[in-house]
Amino acid sequence: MRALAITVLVPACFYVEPINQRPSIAIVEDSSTPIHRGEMVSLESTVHDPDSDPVAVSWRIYACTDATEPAGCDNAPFFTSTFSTISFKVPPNRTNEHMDPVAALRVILQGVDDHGATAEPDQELLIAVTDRAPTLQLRTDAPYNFVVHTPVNVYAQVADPDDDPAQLALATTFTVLGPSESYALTDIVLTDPTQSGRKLVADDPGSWTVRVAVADSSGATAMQDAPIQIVPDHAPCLSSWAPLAPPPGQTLPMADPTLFEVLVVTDDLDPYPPPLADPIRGTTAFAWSLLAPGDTTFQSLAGVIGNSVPLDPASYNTGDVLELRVEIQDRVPRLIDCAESDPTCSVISDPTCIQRLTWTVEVQ
Amino acid sequence: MMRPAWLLCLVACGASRSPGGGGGADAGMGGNDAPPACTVTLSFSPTDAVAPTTVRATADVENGPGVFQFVWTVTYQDGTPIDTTPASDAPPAVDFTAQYAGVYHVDVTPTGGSCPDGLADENVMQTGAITADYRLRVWPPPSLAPTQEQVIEVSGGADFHRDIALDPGLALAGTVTNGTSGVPAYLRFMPASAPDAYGETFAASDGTFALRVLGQSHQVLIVPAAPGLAPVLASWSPGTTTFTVGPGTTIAGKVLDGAGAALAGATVQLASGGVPSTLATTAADGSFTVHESFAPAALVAVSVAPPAGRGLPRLAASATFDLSQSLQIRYATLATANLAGTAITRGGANLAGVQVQLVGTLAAAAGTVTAGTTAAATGTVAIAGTADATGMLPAMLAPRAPLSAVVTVTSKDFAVAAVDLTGGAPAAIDAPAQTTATGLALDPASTALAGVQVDASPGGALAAAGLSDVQTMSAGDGTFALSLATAGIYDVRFTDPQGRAAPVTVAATSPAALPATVQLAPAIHVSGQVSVSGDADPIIGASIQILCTNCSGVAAARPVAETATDAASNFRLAIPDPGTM
Repeated sequence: MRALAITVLVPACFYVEPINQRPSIAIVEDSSTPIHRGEMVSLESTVHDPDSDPVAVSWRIYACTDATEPAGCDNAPFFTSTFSTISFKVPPNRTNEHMDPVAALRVILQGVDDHGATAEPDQELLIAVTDRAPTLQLRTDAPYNFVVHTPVNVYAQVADPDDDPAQLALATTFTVLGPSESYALTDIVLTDPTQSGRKLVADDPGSWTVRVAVADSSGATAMQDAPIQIVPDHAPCLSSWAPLAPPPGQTLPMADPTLFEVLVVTDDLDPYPPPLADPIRGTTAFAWSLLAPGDTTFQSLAGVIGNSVPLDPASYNTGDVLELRVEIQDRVPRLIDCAESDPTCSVISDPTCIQRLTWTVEVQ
Repeated sequence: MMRPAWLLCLVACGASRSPGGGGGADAGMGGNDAPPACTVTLSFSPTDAVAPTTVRATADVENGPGVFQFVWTVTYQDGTPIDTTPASDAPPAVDFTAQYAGVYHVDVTPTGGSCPDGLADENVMQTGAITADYRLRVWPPPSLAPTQEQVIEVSGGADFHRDIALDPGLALAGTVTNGTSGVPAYLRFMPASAPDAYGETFAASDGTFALRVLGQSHQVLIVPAAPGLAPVLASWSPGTTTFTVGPGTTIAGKVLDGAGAALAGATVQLASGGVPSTLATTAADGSFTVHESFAPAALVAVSVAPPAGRGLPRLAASATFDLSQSLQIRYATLATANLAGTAITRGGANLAGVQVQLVGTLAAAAGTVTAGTTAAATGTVAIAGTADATGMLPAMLAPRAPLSAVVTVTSKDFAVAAVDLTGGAPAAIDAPAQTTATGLALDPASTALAGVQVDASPGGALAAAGLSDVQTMSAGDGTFALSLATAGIYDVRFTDPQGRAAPVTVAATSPAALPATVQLAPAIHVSGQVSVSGDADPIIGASIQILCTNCSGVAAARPVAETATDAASNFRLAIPDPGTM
């Protein structure tokens, strides 16, 4: 609660035969703190009657955009009182056609003693109402871990203590700053009128920024940046498989029909098994090849696109040694350029993330 | 096949879980004086609820000081909030109406104290639900727990929730030795409760190995990678860390051809009870020596792979041989045909450079195996050759018998044709052009289904030739096209990786007989959380497979459905709906 201290001394009138003298009145406030819409304001009147008559005061307070112009204020006061001390809440808007935000208050204080003598002139106080800047709170949601070509959602929650947040949301702007102009920014429909959101799909890795700005109807602004680091698509990694692949120099004995399968591929966008009903994520592409007994090069099993290949020892001779190889790709093709004799391969030179696996199998 | 026993500690329907999963790591353990943590456990009545019904949820608070108020939240699997009615203050309980079958999520928040929420899911079954058994196999990261498997009963008509608590097992570090030094080897640990869910490892050149196994007795197959040491099936129980392998029993023998002459270059191996012998290649005099560790008087399978170029079949015979005697293996007298000059054609034109495999099983016995007793040996033909630049086969002997020729034209173009060599080699073998089998994949509601994996597994001659599956994905309009060998036989399996429907298989079909419209089966979804007992960390990337129960061979390993746990240890997969009566 704030109070104004403005004293206006009104010169009294004197008569030759003074019977009843006019009272004098003043408005008192004790602070010069800026006043904002929606805040409580307290004012106090002081009266003086030379005759010591009781003086009744009346307050009228008008909401204005420009209190210096008659048309700048509402025709009717939003607050009236006959108390000597008043407290009122600054309304957010005028009652005119456009419901303009309140930028000033016009305070009228009148006084009259019990003989009907009025204090002249009326006390008028013009109070500037300062506009509060809106506030912004951002949240970034990257369900696909900021991978290039995948959506990053930026949500903005706007608030304003002295403006209608719903109106602010409409005035919220999103601007993209990034290493290239290749991106898409689309609206996200939200039910909360104080929130707005955009979906950014950036086509290039790097440091991107979504700059969110909001301005209220009085022109006060707020701005905040959501820094977004867009990363390249990570190479897929063979995570688990069955049966166990032998270390170099050893063979896996195979006496029964065996399903050679990749159980899990970890990848940011194309894992295996694929997640159910995901609009962005896909699944791993598998390429299988076989080095049959007596062959010198791997032959592609071109018809196989899945995660497993069955081998039946009955299709081979006892003692045959063959090599079954699987290589994986995600949606970004990468050349698996290790030597053909390498049983494993990592395109990112990370032995914990391989894209090639070879089972060397001995038929038993 | 042996029915796997319950192995996993699967949290039963309606059992509680702690928020965030992990479950009860070491509460009350560790030797400190901290008070035991407060826990809120939920239970449900009835335990086998069938919709529509009223379910009572009861909370049990342990180690929670103070007086509590309870705030209950119940939601259906689709997020619909369900009203609750207070049923009891002590113990705290509410009733709710389970109008529909499915999963009801129950959350009770004790207020006025510092206890965590109690969370649980209640499975409510469909009226008249048909049940079906599946094997549930979990492959956790090997460092956390061994592979585990159990049989689950699935009720039709409704989704259900099932948490999985894995046994962490034991971290085993051991050695394979020949008594004096370490031996590199392959080891397969088969738990007594579920031998199919085995663990594997390789012992390094110094014989050391490590893996995580269940704390129960196992049969361990050890196949040494050093010459002269016999594979062995050993019993293992916790506490044992060393396996000793040796030469076992030495079996000597000889392989003779149909004329009684020594057959050099043949590969011989014996096997018994899933344990192989060492491999041997016959010397110039046909002799061989293998090492084995079979049980006495066991059924022994003998297999012989002939040397290339002789036109001989592979031999296989089983009997309770007297292995104290020399093993005499003799081919029957088999007439052969030479396919030199036989043209491989398609549409009247020769196919240059194509590979041809002659496959088949001989009707008559192809030989004998004798050691105390004599067993007739079956003969399986698998003879390969490559046509020359003019499309003619080189010199290539094969038994005079009805066989099949599998022709590999390209890596995507195969043909199979019957070839009767009874009367000698034909002038030409026609490799018919592939046919394109087309069709439409539909979901259970008869809507075209995109992204269905169509997998044609070859059978018959194609399988005998070792050809791999032919796979494709249905297009956006649900249509699919598979290029298949015209005369081939296939098992065609339709799987939806997106879990919108359950797989169906068209068994043993020719391409021409493949239905033009294939409707996938209805699916229900099972979801849950995987934890390792005593470990609160999330189990990320554990493979979860649903496997058939009454199946064998590769079919037993091919999952009906599979998924992997996410970063929060959760999983969700679609499995065939057994339906309702």
